[in-house]
Amino acid sequence: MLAGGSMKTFAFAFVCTALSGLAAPSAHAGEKLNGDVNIYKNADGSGQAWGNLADARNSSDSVQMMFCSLTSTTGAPQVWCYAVNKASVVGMCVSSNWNHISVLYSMTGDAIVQFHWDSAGNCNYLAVEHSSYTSPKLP
Amino acid sequence: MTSAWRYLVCVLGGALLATAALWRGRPVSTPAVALDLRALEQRLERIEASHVRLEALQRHPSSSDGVPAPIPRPVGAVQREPERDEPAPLTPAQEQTERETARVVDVALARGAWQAADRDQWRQLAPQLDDEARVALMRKLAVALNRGELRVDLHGPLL
Repeated sequence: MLAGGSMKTFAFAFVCTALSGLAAPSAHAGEKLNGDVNIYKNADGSGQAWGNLADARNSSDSVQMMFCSLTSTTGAPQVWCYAVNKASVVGMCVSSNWNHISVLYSMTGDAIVQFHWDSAGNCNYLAVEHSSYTSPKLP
Repeated sequence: MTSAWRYLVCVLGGALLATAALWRGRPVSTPAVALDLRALEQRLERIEASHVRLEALQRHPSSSDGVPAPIPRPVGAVQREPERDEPAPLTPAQEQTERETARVVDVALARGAWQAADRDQWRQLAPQLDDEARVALMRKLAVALNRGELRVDLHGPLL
């Protein structure tokens, strides 16, 4: 048990803490997640990569990178995505699948991107996500 | 309305509802009733189909043969390109470009590293390739990168 003086001090500290919590700016509330570029590879050469473009840019190393591109000359466009994690492991895939092209249309500079590839380098999954909990790119 | 009238209306309404409930709940064993129900269902289906056609015509009045016109795609949607015919044969210059680009990739694969000079050459040559040839070479690079057989020795974009 606390003595009378200690009890008062404890109560004062408790009230101060509670009040400072109430007065904290609400602009910083909400879930925030940061993460590295992740790459997993299977023995047959297939694999997957995901990460937030902004986190890759904002990372403290100068290695991580995520990239997707649409290219075309005369025919249907092709998607290709490329990722490098902080250990310089690289993943890349190529696709001419119209569904992948449609998905890529929604990509923005701060999107979460996930892509999977088969052993022949073909993309077999492409996801573009936008969320409140990821960071925007810093300059 | 007097309370006697209210009572009468209530009793009559209840009786009517009970009769209707009994009629609906009874087993449909009489052929005539079964036929009537089937006919009603068919008629309802025809009315619904007509309604759908009418709505489609109202949305797309350009269709005059009663068949709804195709629904236009929203602006900005990905438009699928119609199937292409057989590709035209490559010109000697295109064949040369294809060989040169393939050589850039093969030399890098033999070296085990993709360097800035390779990317620069790729950027010069790849736009002149047809889509099929370019994708084939990109896939070759992807397989080597994914298997760890090709190291990336550059900063910035891969290609």
